[in-house]
Amino acid sequence: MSDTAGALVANLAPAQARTPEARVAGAMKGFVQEVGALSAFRLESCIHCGICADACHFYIATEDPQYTPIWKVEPFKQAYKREASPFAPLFKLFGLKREVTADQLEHWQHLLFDSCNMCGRCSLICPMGIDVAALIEQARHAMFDAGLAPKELYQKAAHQRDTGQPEPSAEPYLDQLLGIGKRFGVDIPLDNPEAEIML
Amino acid sequence: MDLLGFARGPALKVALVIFILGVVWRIVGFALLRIRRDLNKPRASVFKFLTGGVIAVGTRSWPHPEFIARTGPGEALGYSYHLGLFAVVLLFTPHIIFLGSLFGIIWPGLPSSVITVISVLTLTLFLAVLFRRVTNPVMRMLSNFDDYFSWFITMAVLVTGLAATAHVGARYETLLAWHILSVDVLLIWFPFGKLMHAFYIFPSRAINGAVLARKGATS
Repeated sequence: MSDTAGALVANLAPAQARTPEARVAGAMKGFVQEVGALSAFRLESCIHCGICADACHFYIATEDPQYTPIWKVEPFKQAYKREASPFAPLFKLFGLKREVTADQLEHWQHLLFDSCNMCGRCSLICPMGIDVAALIEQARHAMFDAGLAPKELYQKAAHQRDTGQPEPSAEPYLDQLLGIGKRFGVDIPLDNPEAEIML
Repeated sequence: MDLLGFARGPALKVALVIFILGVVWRIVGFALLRIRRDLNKPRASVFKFLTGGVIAVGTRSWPHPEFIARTGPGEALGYSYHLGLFAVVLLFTPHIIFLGSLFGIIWPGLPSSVITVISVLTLTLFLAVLFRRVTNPVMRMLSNFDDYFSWFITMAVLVTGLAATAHVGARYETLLAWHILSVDVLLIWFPFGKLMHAFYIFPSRAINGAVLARKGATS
């Protein structure tokens, strides 16, 4: 079993079964590991102008400031500043950036998974040119590692790993594809080495 | 050594050293993080990739037509006080002489009376910026010490500069010393806070524009 598959299986345990510390450690480790120079630059560049809120459907519809796109990655920005930014030792030494808590991450589940459809309008409006949607995507990965993604996603991921298809079906995926190809007279390429397109 | 001598002597030297080292480290510090390889096939040529970056620098300088009704007033306020600051810093003759002593070149300035009017307008806009930050729910939620201290220290430079020019409140030398001391504090704070956006703004737009162009998207 690959590391990824191992992590997947580990994360299939309900989030409640993991200690709060383990959940936070998982999320922050995932994020800080994934944060490269490009994402760091994006996090460093934010000037707190709040303009991204004016592009977000969730904010426009509700006028609730918590739906401000860049706010959706706030705990991860906090973790980056504390753990990986150029002045991280100072942030830690003087307690300027607090450690992210499990409660915080649980609150952010709603903001990251239920309140963003990755439309990317926030990335289009940002005067600093920050790709906010890309940051949200990375934060989602970290939440997955922490066992804090919606359980349906873990179930679909596990199903995909076991059967090669995300949704349950009456007949195997391979048979379905062959059937579709035969019915419509289309040659569906399957299991081609070094294929450029993966269905 | 008197206060003025301290402000423009050792204090300024220390401030400049912290400013330069801090800015360099703030940039190098994250640039040293690993650069993740983008395994996706490029959707655009290298030429489009590069021009996408340049174009983004321009397009992000102007409100996007789709959003201008909502963002226009805030962006106009932002542009106005930035232009005011540039004028005061770069077109006031004493500043030009000081910068000339550092960089070896000078340029024509504006009359002091014009600079005073611009300073008062900029100061008023600065107050409006603070008012907006504390009354706008989104900005209030996003704001932290960095936002307020960066505002405060920039405002302090403006106020002490105006007071020194107008000779109001104390002897000229004392007012000038406080003005230069406030600049020293600003220089020391600069690399640690959001004032760094002065260095980030164009590279940030360019890099993200180039990344989007590589994906085949416009920015």
